[in-house]
Amino acid sequence: MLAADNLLGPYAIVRTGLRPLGMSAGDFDLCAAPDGKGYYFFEWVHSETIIADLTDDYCGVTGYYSTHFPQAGPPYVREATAHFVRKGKHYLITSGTTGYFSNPSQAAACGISHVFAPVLDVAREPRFGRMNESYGEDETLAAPLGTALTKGLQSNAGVEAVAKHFLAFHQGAGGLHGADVSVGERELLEVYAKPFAAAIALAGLKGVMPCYNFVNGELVSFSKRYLTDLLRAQLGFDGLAVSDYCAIMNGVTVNRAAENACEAGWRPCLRGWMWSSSFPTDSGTNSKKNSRGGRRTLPFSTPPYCACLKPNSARGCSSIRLQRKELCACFFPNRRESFPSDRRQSRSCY
Amino acid sequence: MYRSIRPGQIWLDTEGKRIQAHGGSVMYERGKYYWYGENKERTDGKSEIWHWGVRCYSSEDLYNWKDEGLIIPPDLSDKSSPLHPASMMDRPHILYNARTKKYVCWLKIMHRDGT
Repeated sequence: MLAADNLLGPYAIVRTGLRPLGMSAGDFDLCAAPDGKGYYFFEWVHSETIIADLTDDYCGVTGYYSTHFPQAGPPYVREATAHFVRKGKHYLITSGTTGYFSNPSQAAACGISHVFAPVLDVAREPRFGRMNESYGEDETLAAPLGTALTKGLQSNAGVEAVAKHFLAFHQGAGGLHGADVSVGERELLEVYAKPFAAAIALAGLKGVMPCYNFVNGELVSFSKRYLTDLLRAQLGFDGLAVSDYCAIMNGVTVNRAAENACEAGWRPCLRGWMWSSSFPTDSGTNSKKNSRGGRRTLPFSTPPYCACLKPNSARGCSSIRLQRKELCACFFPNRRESFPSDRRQSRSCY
Repeated sequence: MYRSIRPGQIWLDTEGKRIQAHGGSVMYERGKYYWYGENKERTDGKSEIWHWGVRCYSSEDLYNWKDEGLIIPPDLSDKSSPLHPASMMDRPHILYNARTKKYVCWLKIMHRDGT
């Protein structure tokens, strides 16, 4: 540490060799709060971010400190913290520990292959409790913003954007989550589908998450009209569809759109689905395992055939076709239920 | 005169010299911005010269920077000084202490063994 009476010097050494809090301290920043108290932000090397109180003369640490962003090691540990205050909020800009190379996105660095963003819902129902997730009520703004985020996410090798929640999710009757949305074809296409259409056409969107709700009486997650005819055929989407949490099981337990779990699993397959979260027989366990490390594997997909995605070290996934029996065994290894015919109708699917 | 910041290009000071303020910070004081950082003008990666002190620049528009000289010069006489050019000094940060009316500068010194 050095001190001077003027910013431009001359500076005289005050002390040397400080090893703050007994830690190996890396890149850092200093700041003074409005009350004059000083703080020292630093990387405890290859460990976590420390914010330590400075002594009154700013030439040492008091021993009081807080810890932030603990990580297992590089490249996840944050370094080179820079602090600033703007309009009453404190901000930190930090870097991954990537050894002088530019940082990949955190998703890429953590080996996450699918990011559940952007949210392309057009929010026009103020009673709905998830307004804040969206880009707002204007589909013409949501389209370019969602397209830009999609491009940004997918510019990282191995990362795919999963836009959600297809379709008209924010418009549930009475502002209710997952309720029916009564909407005309033209409004559906020109307002609610527009941001998705833009991200598909302009950014090559790789993933879509269908919504929990019904549109004009059809449960979107099981709907040929919305997932196959509209999303795939009309909008030209050819990527993966990922269920929202428990959406498939909800098809039985909440929406009553399938008679049993097996049918609930089968229907979305016909609609070009892939499996995702919180379904204990498939990727629920899979994603838990993978969140601890390694690239996430997504076991299911793709239209018009049922195929299984298997982990592939080069790109993450490869597909093989499965027979129905194998498919059923894949979902329900401990059950003897046979797979329903794809012609079988359920109460409110179509 | 600069009217923009040009990423990826060499940035010159008001005298046409290459700006030397690596690992830098910017302070604002009485209508002027001050940008200070490591002076690497004698560092070539081959010799043991890691730094040549801390250089500071001033500006009113953040584009055009006037060289204010070495505000912390290297200590050439004492090989054991943290300010000796062979000392792995990085990322100077200056904080004004209103209580003591001193400008306090912290420097990160890395040991040769990486700690």
